[in-house]
Amino acid sequence: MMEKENMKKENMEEANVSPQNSQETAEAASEETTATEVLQEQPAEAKKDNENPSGKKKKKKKQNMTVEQVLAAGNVLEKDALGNDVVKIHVKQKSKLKRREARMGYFFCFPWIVGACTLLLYPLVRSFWFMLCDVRTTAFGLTETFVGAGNFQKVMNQETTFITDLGAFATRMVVSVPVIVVFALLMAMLLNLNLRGKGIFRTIYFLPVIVVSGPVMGMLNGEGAGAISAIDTTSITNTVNSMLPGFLSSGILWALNSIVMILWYAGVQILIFLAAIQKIDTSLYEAAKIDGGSGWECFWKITLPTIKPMILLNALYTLIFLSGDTNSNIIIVTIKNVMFEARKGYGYATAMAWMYSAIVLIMVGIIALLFAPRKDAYIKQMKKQKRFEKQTRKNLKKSQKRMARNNAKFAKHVEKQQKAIAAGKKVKGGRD
Amino acid sequence: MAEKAIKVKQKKQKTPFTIGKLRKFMLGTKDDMGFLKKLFTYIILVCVGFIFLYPIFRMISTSFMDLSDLLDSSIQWLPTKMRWSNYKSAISAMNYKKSLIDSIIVAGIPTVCQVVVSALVGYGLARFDFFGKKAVFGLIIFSFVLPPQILVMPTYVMYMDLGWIGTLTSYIIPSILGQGLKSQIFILICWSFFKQVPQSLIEAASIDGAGYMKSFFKVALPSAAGGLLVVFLFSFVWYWNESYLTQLYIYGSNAAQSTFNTIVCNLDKFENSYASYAATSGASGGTAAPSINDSIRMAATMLSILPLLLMYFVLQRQFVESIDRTGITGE
Repeated sequence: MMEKENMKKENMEEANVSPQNSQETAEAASEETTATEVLQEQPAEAKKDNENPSGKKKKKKKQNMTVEQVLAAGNVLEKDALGNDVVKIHVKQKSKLKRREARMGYFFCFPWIVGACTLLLYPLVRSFWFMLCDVRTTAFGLTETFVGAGNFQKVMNQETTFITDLGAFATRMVVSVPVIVVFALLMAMLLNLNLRGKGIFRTIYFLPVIVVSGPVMGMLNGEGAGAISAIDTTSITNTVNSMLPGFLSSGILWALNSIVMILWYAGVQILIFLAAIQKIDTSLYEAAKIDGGSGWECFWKITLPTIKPMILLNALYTLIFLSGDTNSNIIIVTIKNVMFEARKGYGYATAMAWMYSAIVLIMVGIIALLFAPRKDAYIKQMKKQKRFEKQTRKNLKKSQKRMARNNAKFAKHVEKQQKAIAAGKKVKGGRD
Repeated sequence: MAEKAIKVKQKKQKTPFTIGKLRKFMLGTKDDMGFLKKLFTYIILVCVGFIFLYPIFRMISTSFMDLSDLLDSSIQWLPTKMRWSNYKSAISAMNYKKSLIDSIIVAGIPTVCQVVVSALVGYGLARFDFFGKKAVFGLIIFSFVLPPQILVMPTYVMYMDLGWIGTLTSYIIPSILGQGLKSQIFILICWSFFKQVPQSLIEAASIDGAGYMKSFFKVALPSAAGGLLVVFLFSFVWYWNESYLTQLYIYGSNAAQSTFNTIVCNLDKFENSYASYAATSGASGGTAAPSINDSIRMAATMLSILPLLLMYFVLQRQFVESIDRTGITGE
């Protein structure tokens, strides 16, 4: 919290003084030779910082210094709109309690801050460097030779399946993320109903949370238990193939083939949605019902807008989870295997990881763009208002400056005339 | 008048069945779901519930079959006999007792660290205002979005230099520093829980003379116990099921000599270990173990998630309740 204090020092030589601050001029005149106290000079601004009287007291003690001292401390003398000399003093205004609380905040977050520097930012930078290097493990440790984009070229040339894998991954995500999110939302809505046996259903529905990340999914995947055999018919395959372009149809077929798996991945998402739906104020629904809204309308107008942030969260979570899942994702296993291959090494693997991450991050960006919370209309208007105020203030300042300039000109002119009169000359345009 | 009213009443009693009533019963009113709607919801819930339980049922039933049952196409679900031999051979092939203890250590210690640290950091972010808080949040979300594969290589090299590869240190230190497995999510969960603890409660405690630490331990922690349970459960499960990083960090380059053999990693190479087990048991003169089949594999898988399932069913009431009561999502 920085508060700007304007300290004014009137120069007596300046003849023109606008009428509104003549009072201040008188005050300043008496103080000019002695010490200047900011707070006393501007009582209106002193009232502002009544939040912390202790800080005020301190300030008073501190600011018993002359203008010269203030200037010596590095503050700059400026001219304000009215042509007065102004010193802007920045005063730190944090109370003791706040400073102590901030310290405690750092204390509590200390482990994370250390971890972020050593285990997040440093490896990130190093990984970026690795990407551009040929990293070899030798007897003397790691040797890094800069190769620029060479790693990428090598990946393009040598890993023929990697690129197609990336494409397949992308299409799978495009299909499965919406399916999982919509399914999770539906299930959360159903679980939120007031039904008998709710507890049992919830226990069952949260079960995937426990099992899904584990070896069971890999096992089931291998078994082919991920598909419901009724769906997996050639007629559906053919229709999908003929109806849709190639890249989409392969993704959809994959989704149909592993529908059970996809549903299994929805465990955490159901949980998040359920928690969000339960938090919606029931009076909203009551009000809507009184106004004649049907359940369908309530869903679209109340439930969905309220849980929109959760949709973003869930879509992101799904994407991140699926992209890091060892069971369904060949790419990360490939990267790990490449890492230990003697001829390819860390640099090569890192380049692959960056390519993969680029795709994931692009998708994250798309999701974020789609579901990012739009700013509230009220806040928008407030901002507009503020901008407008700022502009107006600026204009006002400008016009004040212009006025001051004109005043000065006029005063000069008057002075000249008076001098001329005193000299006994005839004045043009003057009234006698 | 009175007579008439009575007559009307009688009439109503005489004809309880009307189409309107039936409609009301079947389709329901605005306040109450009708029978058909309810039936429909129940059918959907049961169907999806079945899909969720299906793999587990399948696993259990398959794990009790023997080879002839597996090959018999007429047997779908129920094996001809309950056979525990599959479990027996899976237990001895996986060296279950030792790997169970190893798994508990490998998953448990980092989890405890993670719970403590996420509680601390979450509280720090929820309770105090300090310069750079927004940056901290931004970094947390950034690291959540960032695919871990980017960081794996440099981190591996770093751990290698520090000599942490092949020891539990490579799991513990990151979890202490809040960079463990999916720590970001846990920090955010803790943050949302601590934010729901009323500030006035903490202020009241501090007026009564509690310091920052005391109000954290005595006021904030107990009110956010549900959140900590969620964090603990998730963290334990994720560490338990993690095989990628475990193989990389804990097993190190020579996997055969690693001190820790977690169940899940054992499962990954189950075929090899089972083959060696079958060979030794055959050589030692006992009844030769059958060659590997799906039933034994399923039994092994079942064994690997059994501790998690037990834990979930013990904690499930608190778990579901804590999610119900406060929600893990925050605002």
